[in-house]
Amino acid sequence: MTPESMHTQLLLSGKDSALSEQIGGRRATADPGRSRASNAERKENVEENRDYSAQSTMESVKQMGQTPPLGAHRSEIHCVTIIGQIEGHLVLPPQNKTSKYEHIIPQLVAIEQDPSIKGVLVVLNTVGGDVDAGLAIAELLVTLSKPVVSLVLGGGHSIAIPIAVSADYSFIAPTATMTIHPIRLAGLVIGVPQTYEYLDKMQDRVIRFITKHSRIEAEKFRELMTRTGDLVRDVGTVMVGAEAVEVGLIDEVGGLSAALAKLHELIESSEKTGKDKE
Amino acid sequence: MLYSVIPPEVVFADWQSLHGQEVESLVMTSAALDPKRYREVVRGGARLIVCETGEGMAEVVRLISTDPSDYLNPEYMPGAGIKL
Repeated sequence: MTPESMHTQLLLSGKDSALSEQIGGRRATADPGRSRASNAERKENVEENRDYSAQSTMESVKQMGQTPPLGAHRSEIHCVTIIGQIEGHLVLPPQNKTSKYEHIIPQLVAIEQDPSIKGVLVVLNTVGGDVDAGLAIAELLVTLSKPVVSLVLGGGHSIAIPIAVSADYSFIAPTATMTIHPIRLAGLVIGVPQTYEYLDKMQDRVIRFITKHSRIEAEKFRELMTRTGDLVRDVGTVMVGAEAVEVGLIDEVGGLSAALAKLHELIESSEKTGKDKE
Repeated sequence: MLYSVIPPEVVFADWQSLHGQEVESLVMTSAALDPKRYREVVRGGARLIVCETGEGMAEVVRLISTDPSDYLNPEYMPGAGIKL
């Protein structure tokens, strides 16, 4: 690769401009002849570098002996986004957009392990999904020693509810909705016969988690879960924004800035006391 | 077990036709089911879902990372080309 292409490439990729200038400048003085490359050649280089940008930046930076720019500005607040179906034991057909267990769980473990990460923002916009995977994510969030704030945007339905309440503090956007409904008989169970007792047990598991980690009472939750007249094809309740706060499921109505402000506040107070949450 | 507001008949719409395929690909990744050949690769600490566009070449489809600054990195933006 020519020095010109490397220079152009770094500019194209919008990396730290001081770094690219430094590299470009150094190479230009070291090899002035090469800098008079024809326009055609330059154009070719640009085309080539569009394709190989990720790889070549890594390579050129390595060759220059510079710190890789990727690690240079790591954020101290990490964000876990959960969208679509929460996917667990079963790989869902491709028409489903999914957030996968095997992606999210290692991320949470990595966040817990990395001392440079101070807090976690969980952004939820999900239609529900696998009970085991959803509860696994929720349990990990509860036991994470760093402050966690959740934000429900768009929708946080079904198994997203335990995940939303598992945070130290939860927010819901004014327009976001949460649907509480029973675990259906039509659900797919692997290796276990679908008995009424089994479904009831699964439901209890979810309700127990939600009532333990939010202000809502089990009785109230069950009432919302079996309410008629709210959903067209099912029993249950749809709550919009402030309604979820009123029933005690979510702590506050708010958006991104409110959630981040709360997270910073929690980080500060946890650093002050030096105590980790249970 | 699924607990979702999307009806199971929608979630599992292709389930019957999928069962005709190799069980291995079903277990491994849903990407294997897609004719567009999606792959997962790890670059500089970030995990990317890429779509193969040619010999040794791929295009970024989705970034999977918890670090918000990764999403500002042009190399990881959907549509960016990478060498496999």
